[in-house]
Amino acid sequence: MPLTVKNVSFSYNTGKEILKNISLCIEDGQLVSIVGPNGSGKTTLVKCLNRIHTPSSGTIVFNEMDIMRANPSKIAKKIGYVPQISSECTSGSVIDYIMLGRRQYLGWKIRSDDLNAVMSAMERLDIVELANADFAKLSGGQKQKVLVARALVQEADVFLFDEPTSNLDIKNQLEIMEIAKSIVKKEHKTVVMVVHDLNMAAHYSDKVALMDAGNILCYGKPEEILTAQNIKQVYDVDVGITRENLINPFAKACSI
Amino acid sequence: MKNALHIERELEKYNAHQAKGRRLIATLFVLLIVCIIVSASVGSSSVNFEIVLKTLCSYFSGVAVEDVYRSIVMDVRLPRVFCAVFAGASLSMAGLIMQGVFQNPLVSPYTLGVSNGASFGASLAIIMSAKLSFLGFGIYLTPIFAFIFSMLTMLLVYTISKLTNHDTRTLILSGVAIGYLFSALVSALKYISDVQSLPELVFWSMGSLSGLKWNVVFLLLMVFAVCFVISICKGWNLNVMALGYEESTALGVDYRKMLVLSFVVTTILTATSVAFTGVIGFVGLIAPHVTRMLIGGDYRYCIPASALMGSLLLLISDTLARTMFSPVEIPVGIITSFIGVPFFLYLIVRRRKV
Repeated sequence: MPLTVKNVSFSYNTGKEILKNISLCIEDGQLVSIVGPNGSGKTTLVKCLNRIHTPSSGTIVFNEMDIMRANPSKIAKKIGYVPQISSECTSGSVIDYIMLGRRQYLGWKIRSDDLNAVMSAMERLDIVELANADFAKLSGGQKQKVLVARALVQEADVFLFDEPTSNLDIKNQLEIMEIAKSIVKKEHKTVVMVVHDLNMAAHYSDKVALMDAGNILCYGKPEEILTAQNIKQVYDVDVGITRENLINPFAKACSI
Repeated sequence: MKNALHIERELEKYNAHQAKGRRLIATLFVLLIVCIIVSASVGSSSVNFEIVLKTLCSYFSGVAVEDVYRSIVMDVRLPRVFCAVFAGASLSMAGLIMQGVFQNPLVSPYTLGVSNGASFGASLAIIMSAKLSFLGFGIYLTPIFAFIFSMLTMLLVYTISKLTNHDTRTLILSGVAIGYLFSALVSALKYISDVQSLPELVFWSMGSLSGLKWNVVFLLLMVFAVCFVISICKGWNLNVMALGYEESTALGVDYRKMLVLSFVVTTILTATSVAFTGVIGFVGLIAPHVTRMLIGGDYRYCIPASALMGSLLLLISDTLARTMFSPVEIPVGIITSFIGVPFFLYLIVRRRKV
C-alpha cells in the first residue's frame, strides 16, 4: 500500500507557490524523513498528505483512496498525525486528550474498547502515570509522547510526524525517534517525518527526501542523499561526513 | 502485573472524574428546581410558596384558589421564571460553544455583533413604532425587528468571513467591526429620539424579563431544545475543535462545516433570547467559564452543565432584580454582573491557590 504523490503543487492565497509539482512514492513499512532548509516546503508537504492543506493541483493516493476527494473522517482512519507541540494547548486530562484520537470510532459514550486502546497506547509509551494529569502542565517531552499516543489510537497505517523533536532535549529526541522506529519495525506501518537534524535522519530513516525551494531535490537511501555535495547545494554549508553507528543508550529502554 | 495495577488505579481516578461531571449536572438540576420554586414564591405581591403550591395543585385536584392569585402565579411569575431559565440556558450554551470554537476565553455570544444588530432593530422599532404599525406585528414589533436585524448582522459577518474561507480571526474581527457600526447607528437613533421613546430604548438595552408570556416561553424552549440536541450530538466534534483547525482536520473533523454549524446554532440561540429579553450581559461569558472550572472541558458534560449554570445565574439575578427594591425593578443585566463578577473572581483565586 504505497502512498503516492503525483504532481502536487500548493500555494497560499498570496499566490506564492510553496510546493512545485512534487512527485513521490512512499513504500509501506518505511521511515521516511523529509529534510531541507527552513521554508523549503517540508511541513507544507506533510500537511498536504492528510489534507490539512488542500493542494492546488495533483493527486495523492493511499491504498486506492483518493486523499484529494475523501472526507476528513476517512483520511483520519488511514493517516495519523503528530503535530509540533503547540504553545497554546487546551487543558484537560491526558486520557481525554488521547481519546480525541479515537474520534472516528467513538460513539457518544466512551466504550471499554476505546478506553483500552487509550490505556494500551499509554502503556506502550510508558506514560500511564500521567493518565489523569493536566496535559497543559506536562513537560515538552511528555507532551510529545502524548501526541504520539493520540496518533497511535487513530489505528492508522501511515503516521505523519511534523518536526516532533524540534523543541526537545537530546534524551527526549532520541526517545521519540526510537518510538517512530519501533512503529515501523514492529508494526510494519509507515512513518513520514519532517526533521531538521540530519544526523537523526541519517541514523533512523530508511529513505530521505531532500527538499529545496518547494521541490524534492533527491529521494533515496540516507547514505545516497545526505552527501557533502547535496548538503552544500541545499544549505550552503560545508560538512564532513563520517559513517559511524550512533550509539543510543535509550534504544533499549524505549523500544515498544 | 505492576502496570496492570497502575492502569486500574488510573482508570478508577478517570471514572471518578467522569462521575463528578454527572453529579454536578444532577446537583445543578436540583438547584434549578429549588430556585424555580423560590423565585415563583417571592415578589412584590403577597403570593407566597403556599399559594404557588396550591395553584399548581389546583390543576390536578379540587383545591380552590382565588383568580387573582392564580393569575399572578400563572400569567406573571411562572412565565417570567421560565423565560429566565431558557434565556439563561441559551446564552450560556451559545457562549460555551463560541469560546471553544474560537479558542478564545473572552468571546461571548455578543462578540460577533448580534446584540448590536438586535439593539439597532429594537431601537428602530421603538422609535418608529407608530409608522411601522401598518405591519401588524402589534406588541411583537420590537422583538421581531431585533431578531431580524441580529440575523442580518450575522449574515453580513458570515459573508465577510466567507471571503477568507471562514478564518476564525476574521470572523471575530469582522463581528466586532460590524458591531461597532450598529452601535454607532443606535447612538444616532438615540440622538434623534424623543423624550418618550428614549427611556424605553435605554431600558431595553439593559435587558429585562418583565411582561413576557407563555408563548415566549414556548418559543425560547423550542429553540433551546433543538439547538441543545444538535450541540450535544456534536459534543465530541466540539471537543476536537478546541484544538484548532489543523489538529481537528487531522483527527477527522470537517472543521469548516462544524464552524458554520456552530455559527448558525449560536446565532439563533442568541438572537432569539436577545429579541425578547434585551441585551443581558455577562451570562454568556461567565456561566461557561464557571462550568469549565468545575468539571473541565468535555463538551458532552459541559453543554448541559453550562446551560443549567446559565439558567441559575439569570434566574437568581432576575429574582433579585424584581425583589431587592420592590416595587421598583432594576435592569437584570446589572445584577448578573454584580453576582457573577465576585463569584468568578473567587473561582480564579481558588484555582490559583490549588
